[in-house]
Amino acid sequence: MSKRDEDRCDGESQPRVGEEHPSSSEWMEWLYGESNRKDHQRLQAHLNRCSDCRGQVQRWQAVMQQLNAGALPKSQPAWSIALPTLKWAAAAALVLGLGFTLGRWSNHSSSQFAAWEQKLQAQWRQDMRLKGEQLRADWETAQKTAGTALASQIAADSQKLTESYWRQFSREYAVTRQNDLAWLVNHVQTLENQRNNENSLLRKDLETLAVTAEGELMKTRRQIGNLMLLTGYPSTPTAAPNPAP
Amino acid sequence: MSASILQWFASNDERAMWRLQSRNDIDAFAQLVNRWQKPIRALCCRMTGDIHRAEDLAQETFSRVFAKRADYRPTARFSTFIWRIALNLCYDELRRRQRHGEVPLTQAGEETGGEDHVAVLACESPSPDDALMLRERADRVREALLFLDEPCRAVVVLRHYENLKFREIAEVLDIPEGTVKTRMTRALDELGRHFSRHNSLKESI
Repeated sequence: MSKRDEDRCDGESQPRVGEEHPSSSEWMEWLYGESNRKDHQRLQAHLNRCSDCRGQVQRWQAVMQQLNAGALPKSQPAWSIALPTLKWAAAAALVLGLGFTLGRWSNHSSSQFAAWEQKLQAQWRQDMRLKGEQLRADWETAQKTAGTALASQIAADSQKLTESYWRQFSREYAVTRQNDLAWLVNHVQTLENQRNNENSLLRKDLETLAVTAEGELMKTRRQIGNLMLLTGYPSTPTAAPNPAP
Repeated sequence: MSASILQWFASNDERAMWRLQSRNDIDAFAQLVNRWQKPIRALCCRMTGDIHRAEDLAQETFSRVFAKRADYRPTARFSTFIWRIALNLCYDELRRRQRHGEVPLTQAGEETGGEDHVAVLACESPSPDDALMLRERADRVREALLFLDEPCRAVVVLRHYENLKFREIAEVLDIPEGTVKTRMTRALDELGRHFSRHNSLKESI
């Protein structure tokens, strides 16, 4: 059915001279709604003029109608694809409906609503004021109590700290003093020992000196006696020097 | 980067398939099964004319989707991917049936009263007479579909029942769009002749 002769067409209105019949592919698109608007109008106009094509299309439409008898329930994908859109549409409808209802309600009972609002505001202010006062009183009481307790605590802590410091100082002072005393005793002892040693050494040296001097003196006296004997000096000396002690 | 941008704009199916492909996300797979179970089962039922076998084929389709998840290209549409797998399984089933000379359930269902066909009818509590009439009409339509050759039947099922565009069908079947429309025309012509024969036979009886 791609191109038919004009003599196949008859009816009230004849197709235009030279007009081609639409192809079967075009008719298939038209039958299933896939042709664009321009083609659809062109085919519709041709269908009105050409009884041959009209008959053919009617036969196809009859077959399609009979095919519908074997239709199963609608396919799931189409519904599933449309489901999100439907959900949004339902949500939008719900919001719009809620807004409309609230608007209507507020419009009809605006005075009552205003009275309720005023009453609620007054009640709210009263509650807030009472709560504020209560809160302030509680705060002051707590502050006083906390201040007293804190002061007592600080005093007690100071006393404890002072006592603790004093005890610690006394203990450390005693220890330090004892250590110093021990060191001093030790040092004095050392000095004394050193002095004793020096004294003993000095005495020993003096004794050695005395012994040596006495030996030398005796030696000198003998030499003088020998010398007198040799020189013939009177045998009894009148005066002799005293020996060293 | 491009993959994440694509994923942002992708539909739920492609996102779920990407999650299945990249992370073996079983929840994503369950999501795909829930969403595509009915259309795939309907396609298999219309292509094979056997509601019981259609259940098996649908399960086999999802098994293949899971097994071939690595073959899925992120730029492709998941619908094309799964339609193609299901159709190939239906072709295999029809060829196997042809080799073994098995009788389609449409004809067997007439002998047993065809109770299974009632379950898949889209009717809302009809009266017994109406139910019977609707069942007969539905059976007649499915029987007529089985008279079509497989390529034309696939086009009719995808276009008329699954509502795919001709362009999408061409993508699934990997043929030119013009061929799809030609097959659709031929299918409607053959179905018209079949219904006319059936009606004339009924009137003569």
